[in-house]
Amino acid sequence: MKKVFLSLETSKDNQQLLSAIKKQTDIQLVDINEIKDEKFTVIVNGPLTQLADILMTRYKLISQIEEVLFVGGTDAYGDVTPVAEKNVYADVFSAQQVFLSTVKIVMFGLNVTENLKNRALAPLVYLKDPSIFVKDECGIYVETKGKVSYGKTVTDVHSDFQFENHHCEIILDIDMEKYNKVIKSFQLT
Amino acid sequence: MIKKPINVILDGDPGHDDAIAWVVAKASSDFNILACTAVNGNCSAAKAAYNSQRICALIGLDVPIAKGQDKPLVIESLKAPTNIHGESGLDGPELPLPKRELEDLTAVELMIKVLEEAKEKVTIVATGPLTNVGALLLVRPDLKEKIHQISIMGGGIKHGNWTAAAEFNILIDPDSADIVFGSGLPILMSGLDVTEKALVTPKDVEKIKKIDNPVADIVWQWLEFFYQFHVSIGYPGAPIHDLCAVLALNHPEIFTMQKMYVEVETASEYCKGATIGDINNIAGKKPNATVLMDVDREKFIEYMIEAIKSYSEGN
Repeated sequence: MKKVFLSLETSKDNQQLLSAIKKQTDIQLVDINEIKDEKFTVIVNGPLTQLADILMTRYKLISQIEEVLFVGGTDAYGDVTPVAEKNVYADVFSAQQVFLSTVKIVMFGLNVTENLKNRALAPLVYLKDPSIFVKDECGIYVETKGKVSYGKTVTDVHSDFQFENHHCEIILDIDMEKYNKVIKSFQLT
Repeated sequence: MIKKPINVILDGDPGHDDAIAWVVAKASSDFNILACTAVNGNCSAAKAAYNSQRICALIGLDVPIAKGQDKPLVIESLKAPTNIHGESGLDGPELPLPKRELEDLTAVELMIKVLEEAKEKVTIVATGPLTNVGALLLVRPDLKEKIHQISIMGGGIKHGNWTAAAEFNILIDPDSADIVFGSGLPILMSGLDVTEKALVTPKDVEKIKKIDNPVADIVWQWLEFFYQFHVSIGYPGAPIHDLCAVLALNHPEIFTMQKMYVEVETASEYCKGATIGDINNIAGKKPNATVLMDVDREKFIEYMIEAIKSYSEGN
């Protein structure tokens, strides 16, 4: 049984994720205030404000987080500015706190989600079958001081230069045929 | 109809790929080369100037050559890497000694002189950091009307190489790059997006080895030197970055290009020197650059080899 904590902003897309996740018999949603010493996964689709707050105040939980599946960021092009994506741009400082922490973050960025019907569902599909996703280990930092690069998720996945800190994974491609099959199995209306 | 040659100033920090770009430019009747200016980058400005003199001696290019300033416009210079181009900035085969003295002018002064005297507009091909071009535009903005466009090798929309977000030439002197991109002049940008696809493979080098002339004999040795480093970090060959900035002018059809608004990051923690390109036109600003995104590699190599061959005919 996989325990999952959801950090979502209210939206139609996230409503759909919620109803799909409730149908899964192998996934149990958990309340962050009731977690004791068990391991859990975090799904974020929205600003990283709540997760950053948790990391700041309840840092003992950090070692219990298996991974953070974050819908947001981008490997190159943004949607709010030329280089910044909405969920990161909404709270750049919190995003940087999360990426600077030691938790493992799997980033479902604009580079792969821009063609999905509902990107909120991507982490759930990932939990059902991670082999559908092509990913690479990398370092990611969030630019908080830039004049034009403010809010960019800076990754070393394409550059010769490599960051020292490599606790993230970036999704680079999705096998859409298999992806759509899993989506279908959610039987969403 | 006879095509009018393109008047160019070659500004660079040679450098193996700058050198090859100049070899190809000199070989083609498409270009009328007016001057060479050396800039601090891959190596010091002094070494770049000396290398420029020797390259000109090799390819029979008899034009004025001048040295640029020793550091970027505002910031201190990063230490030039020696593992890519070697200690001299152009290690490998022995080149002929200089045939023409350096001008008694600085690079910027020589650019000003050439532009003032030019009857027609001039294109600047800048394949190193943009220090000389930036200084020129700051000091003599009135000469912009003499500049047709600036074809640069530098930057990368999708990624960097020297840092995660910045490419070497822009990172060395982001302030100059900012002046150039903000100048209002048309910018033709060959960044890493295209140049990392402009690869010369060991197979191509074998073809060049078979060409019987003194230039070919040097070029294949440059290439062998140059791809050692790139192969050691996982490339299947050597990206001839700077040649894109030349072939983009006379063979634009072999490239995929996209107009977009590009701004240089000058104040940032992780992105200093990044060329931020608005590829999806989010900000709605008028494009200031034409960015090369892809290249027909086979054609690219074909034009390079054709140029090297032409030195057999007493170019």
